[in-house]
Amino acid sequence: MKIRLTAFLIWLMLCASSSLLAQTRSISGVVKEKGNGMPIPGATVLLKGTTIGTITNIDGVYSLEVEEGSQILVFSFIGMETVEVVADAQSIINVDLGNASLAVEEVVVTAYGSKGKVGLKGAITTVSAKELDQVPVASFDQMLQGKTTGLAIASGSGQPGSAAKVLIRGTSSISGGNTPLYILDGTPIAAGDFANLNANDFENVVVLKDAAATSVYGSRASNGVILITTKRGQEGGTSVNYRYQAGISVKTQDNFEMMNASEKLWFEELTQKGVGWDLSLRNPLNSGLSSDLLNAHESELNRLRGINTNWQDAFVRNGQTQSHEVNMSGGNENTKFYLAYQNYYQEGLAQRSDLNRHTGRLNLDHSISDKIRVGVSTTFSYSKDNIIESEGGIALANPFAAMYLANPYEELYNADGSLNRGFYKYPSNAERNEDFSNDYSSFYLTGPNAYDRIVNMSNSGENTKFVGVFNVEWDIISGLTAKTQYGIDYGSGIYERWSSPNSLEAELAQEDANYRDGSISENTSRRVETNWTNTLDYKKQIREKHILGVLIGSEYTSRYNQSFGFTGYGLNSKLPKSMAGITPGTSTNNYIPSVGGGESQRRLFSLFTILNYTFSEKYSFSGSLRRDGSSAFGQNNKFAILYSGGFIWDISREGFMDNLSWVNNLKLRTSYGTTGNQGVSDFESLTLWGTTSYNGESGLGLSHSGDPDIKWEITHKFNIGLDYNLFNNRLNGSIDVYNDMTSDLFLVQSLSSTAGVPGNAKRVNTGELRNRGIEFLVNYDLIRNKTFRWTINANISYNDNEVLSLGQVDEFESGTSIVRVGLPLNSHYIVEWAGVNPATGDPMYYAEDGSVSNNFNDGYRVTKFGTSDAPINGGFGSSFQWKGFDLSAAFTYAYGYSRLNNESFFQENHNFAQYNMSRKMLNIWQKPGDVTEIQRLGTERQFSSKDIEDSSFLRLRNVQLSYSVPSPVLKRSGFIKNVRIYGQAQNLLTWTSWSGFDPEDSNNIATYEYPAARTFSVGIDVSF
Amino acid sequence: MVACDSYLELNPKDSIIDEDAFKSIEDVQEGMIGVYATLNTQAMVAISSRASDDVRLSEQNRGQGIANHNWEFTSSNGEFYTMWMYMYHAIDRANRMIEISKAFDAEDVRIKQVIGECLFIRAYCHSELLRGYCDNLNGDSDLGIPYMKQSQIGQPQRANQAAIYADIHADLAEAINLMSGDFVSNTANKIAAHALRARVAIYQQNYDLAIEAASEVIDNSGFTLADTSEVNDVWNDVFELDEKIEVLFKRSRVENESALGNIYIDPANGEIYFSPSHDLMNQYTNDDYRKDAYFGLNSQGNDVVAKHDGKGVGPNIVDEKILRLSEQYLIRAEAYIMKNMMTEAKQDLDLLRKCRIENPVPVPIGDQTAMMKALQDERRREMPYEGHRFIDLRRWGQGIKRLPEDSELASGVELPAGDYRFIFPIPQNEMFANDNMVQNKGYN
Repeated sequence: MKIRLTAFLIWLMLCASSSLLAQTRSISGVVKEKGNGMPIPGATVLLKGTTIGTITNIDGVYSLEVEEGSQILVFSFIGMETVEVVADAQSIINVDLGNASLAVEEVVVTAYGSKGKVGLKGAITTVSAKELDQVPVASFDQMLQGKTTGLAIASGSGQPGSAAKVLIRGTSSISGGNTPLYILDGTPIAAGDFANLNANDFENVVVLKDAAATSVYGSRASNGVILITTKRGQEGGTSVNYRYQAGISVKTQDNFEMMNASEKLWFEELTQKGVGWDLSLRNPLNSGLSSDLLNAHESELNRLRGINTNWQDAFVRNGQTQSHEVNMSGGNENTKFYLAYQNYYQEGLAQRSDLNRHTGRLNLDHSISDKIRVGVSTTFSYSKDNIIESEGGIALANPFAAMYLANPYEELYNADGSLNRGFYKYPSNAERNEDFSNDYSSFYLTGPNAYDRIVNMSNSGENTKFVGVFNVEWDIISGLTAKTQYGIDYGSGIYERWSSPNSLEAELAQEDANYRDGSISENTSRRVETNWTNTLDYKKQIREKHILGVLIGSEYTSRYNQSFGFTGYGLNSKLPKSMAGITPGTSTNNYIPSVGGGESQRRLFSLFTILNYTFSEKYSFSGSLRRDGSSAFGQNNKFAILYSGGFIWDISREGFMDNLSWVNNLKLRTSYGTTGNQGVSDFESLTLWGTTSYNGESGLGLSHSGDPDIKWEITHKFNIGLDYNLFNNRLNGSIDVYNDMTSDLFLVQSLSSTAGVPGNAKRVNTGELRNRGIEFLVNYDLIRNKTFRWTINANISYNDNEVLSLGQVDEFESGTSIVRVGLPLNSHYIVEWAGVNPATGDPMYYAEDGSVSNNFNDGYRVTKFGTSDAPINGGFGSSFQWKGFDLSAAFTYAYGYSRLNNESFFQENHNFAQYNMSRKMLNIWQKPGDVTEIQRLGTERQFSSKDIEDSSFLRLRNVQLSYSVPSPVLKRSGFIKNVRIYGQAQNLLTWTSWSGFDPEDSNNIATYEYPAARTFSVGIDVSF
Repeated sequence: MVACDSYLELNPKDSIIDEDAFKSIEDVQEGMIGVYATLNTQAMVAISSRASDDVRLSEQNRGQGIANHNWEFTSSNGEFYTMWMYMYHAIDRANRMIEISKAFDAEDVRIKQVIGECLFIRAYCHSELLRGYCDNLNGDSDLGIPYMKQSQIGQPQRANQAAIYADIHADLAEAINLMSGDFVSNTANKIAAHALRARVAIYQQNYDLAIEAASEVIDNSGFTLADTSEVNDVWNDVFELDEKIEVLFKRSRVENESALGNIYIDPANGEIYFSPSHDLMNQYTNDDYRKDAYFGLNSQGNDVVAKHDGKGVGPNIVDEKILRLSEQYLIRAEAYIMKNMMTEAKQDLDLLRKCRIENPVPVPIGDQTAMMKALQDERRREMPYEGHRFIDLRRWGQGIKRLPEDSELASGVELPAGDYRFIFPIPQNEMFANDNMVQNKGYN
């Protein structure tokens, strides 16, 4: 306050003195845009070295009183070049401003040093705040899809808050995990646990890919690193923003066509299964029955034919989304803050599926003196969620399976309004039931019984998360900064599973089943990761041409996991959903609660250094070295030494480029180095003993045979890339080519039984695989002037994955996939379908020699159906800004991969005719000459290439239209600075040949996963 | 930096690390309990029963052991791997405890006892592997099995059979030397060690040794055979662990543990996998108490193997009787016959029969062939479903010919004497993991 007052007084005195002493004159003119001659309103005209100035009006006209004599006027406008004009005696000065061709700020990511004296330079791409802003998705990783190169992101579930599968430059490990390292404001955080973070708080998300960028993160960096930086306060007045968004989620289209009731009952009669057969005239059990009873059968069938329940309506709803957010930021020279609170509520498409989250953030920076600064970044979050039954499972309890597999003639409610659960059975009667062997059959009511689980069971969670980073920086001498930082990522979850004593499951339970009167279980989990980092950071310019930067540091990281849970039984019907309702267990009632838990921990101690040297601004060399010691590594391989070296050539600064004025920036980057993957389990290297018993006596038994040699997987990364800004920066982007070789892969090695190792196998470091690829990123401003701006952007990444060696073996199978030397990971391994023999109706398969056979043989399996990892990923988009309007669209795509459709395996399989079938089954082979893809009754339906489908897709991920109210309008209100209103649609359109409901998934097999929703939302942002 | 590196010394809280596991002799004794917990002898009983002429395939069998019953032996057959693995794992646990015990006072009786018991377990498991997987039992084969004397990850070669016999006897001699004279039937003991010496001796056709070792058990141990009133009790595990009746060594089983009787009967619904063969049941006279102990009828009136149908802690759960006194009489009688000491042989056989049959007909003294036939018949009657029949047939150079009424559902009817399948295949997993392993003849 004192400072401000002083400045004001000085200014006052200056004004006074100038008016007293000087003669003034007037200068006026028009400021126009170079090239098209359009006037520029709002351009700044300033007398150089003073605060005297003005702003052009709507016609670009200005006028200014200046002192007599030679003056320099400075004309500037955002996005335009700044022009200085010497005004000697002219009274009219017109100026044309060209588009700015300012030197482009290179992306310098500051690992281990918030003030960033020594940065990382390499294959780095950034996703900015704007692209993560108010996207109606709870987990930010899903938002990154299609935004930049080198990222393959697939969301596996539409459950609000669920994480996506994130791969940076392909799959680099077979059994060691492929999750990138996530760093939030300098501290590592749990991967895949993002539902409790508010992406609106993010300033940017940076993806580190090559060795130059990642190697300093050492033995956790093989899968790439994602750095998240949150927003911080700026010096100036306090700005307060309120943001509101409301939306609705609806189901996307699916390509399944299921049978209606008449069709299904006909099909049941054909397959001699189900009620359609039980009541059929053709059923021998019904021969000889009275015509009265047969008529009754027929009228029951007619009643069923008329039902046609739409099971999608029962299980799927339109989900509501709503979020409120208040954030404020500001500060002065010494103290700056960013404060935010958000409440985010999202309902899933499925009943009993939602997320309600409260997040708060406080980021604070304070300078104690010119030399010492402190800062904190903290976020706290509490959320509750409800999860559906058997999510993503081939299970009748999964509502997304039940809505297809429930028969259309099942009804949800009885006439009296009660749930029609259990079984369908035609009432027994003496005529058919004569000797108790011909009684009508009972049929499981798939739809109502799945619905009963929604009503009479629950599956809910409560999560709390705290991420805090505290740091102190001290500028010891000029150029040398010491920093210490403590970070903590604390997450805890409580999951409750409840099954009512009134549930169907309890009703159908065996007499001595422990869940016969319901059950309730609570499972808690805690994960605490702490990180203490100390760095010394030095930068010095030596004689103009040399810039040297050195950073050395140490880091302690500790991670602790703990879990505990119990299940109690025999819930009292008066207290059906409470732990107080649990009946104590006795030796006879079988209600003894089950209890379990465990804990595990690992630690990492690292020393590292980063070196940067730039010569003549043209040639930069960078290097890093890191020594990682992990408690999880074996005694004989405790420390990983990982390094990188990089070189950047700023071609645009070379003399020979001077004539190429359209090249604003051209940089060639190359790097080589090593990173590791710590995918060993916490105590894998140790030999461990646990309790065991013999004849009721407690003893000690070997539980794990450790391997003191176990260590990190190592990836040798090579990258060469080019960053370019051309044509006044209208065209910019990057091209990268990389070759990453991962060796010492964790693979299971079989051991001789004579070694006595439990499981006769252990993981060893052997095997090798390669990811190589090419990435293009381009942004282009088609039109750029002060009223219009039309930009397009596109990115494409191609990754080629190949297994080079598997140690002891050349291949091993894993489900319907195979890992084989010479093929990419996750290659499908399945028998090729050859159609249905029109003469016999038998399914046909291609044999090894290419001949067609009706024998199904595992030996016929081939690998010609590609992989379930998309080699090509990317996105493109466009935005159009005109005055206050902003229209943008973002597309994402994945190409060249296929998945096994386990859904069609069920829906197109006559052996599952007790459940509803795809209408394709109406074409089942029935007589010689029928040409169809549906094999005859009585044949075994096998997994074959018939079930492999191309999953490539193009998705209009987001379309948004917003309008910012012009500031002159707002000025009248006196306190509102900015108002923006918008509407957006998420997942609006998808183009794919995939026949399931969502081509996008995190694994190789479609199993009725929770599909992504199409979300429409509107919102308003108001700044004060 | 050294101080910082100690930050990495981290141990689990819910398991015990190697260095902390055995700090006292009491800990070592607990480790010994862990060795017994690893012991599982069921696979040999399963293979020997199913592959022999003692069972008949039931129509209720849904695939349990049918391949072995039909002698469709392949190296990938799980039962051969199970047996191989369990035996070597028990050997490994014993070796680990021997190694661990060395850190303690070698003169302490408790340490001596643990080492002795471990040596016995080691000898026993190797002897089981030897009779299952070795191609010739007379000692002159090079295709023995690896004899593991320490816990080690490696690719050991098959040892010479004579060397294995020598190792077994050396281990047993040392076990006898170290163990106390106390007897508990469900842990290793001196009497069992002598009994195992006798068993191994008869396999290696060292009849003098067999007589000497069996006599040690029969004459000097204070053990008695179960008499006719006690036969059934043996199979219901009625006797106390320190009672010197019949059972010299067994592996105890309690609630929720692996159930030996599951070889024959489904524990959940009582469905029969294998019934006793008519051939076997025909061997008994009606006054033979073993008939009632070994066979029974289920609720539908079908013949079932009742020998292992449970001791009352859950269906089919029984202690696994590994060494019994009656076997010692049969071993000694066989050795006497081979040495043409027919009177002594007759005495042993008659004594056993007296304890099993209400009105036993004494065995007539005959020539070696006749006496051997009597011995073989008695051994079959006495010891079915205990892991001996299939091996005995091979040992005696006999084949298998199932009766028509026993092979209605089986595709395997006859296995000629000397067929390669009398010797188990080395499991595929072992062949895969151990480059030095050599497969037995006939298998690939």
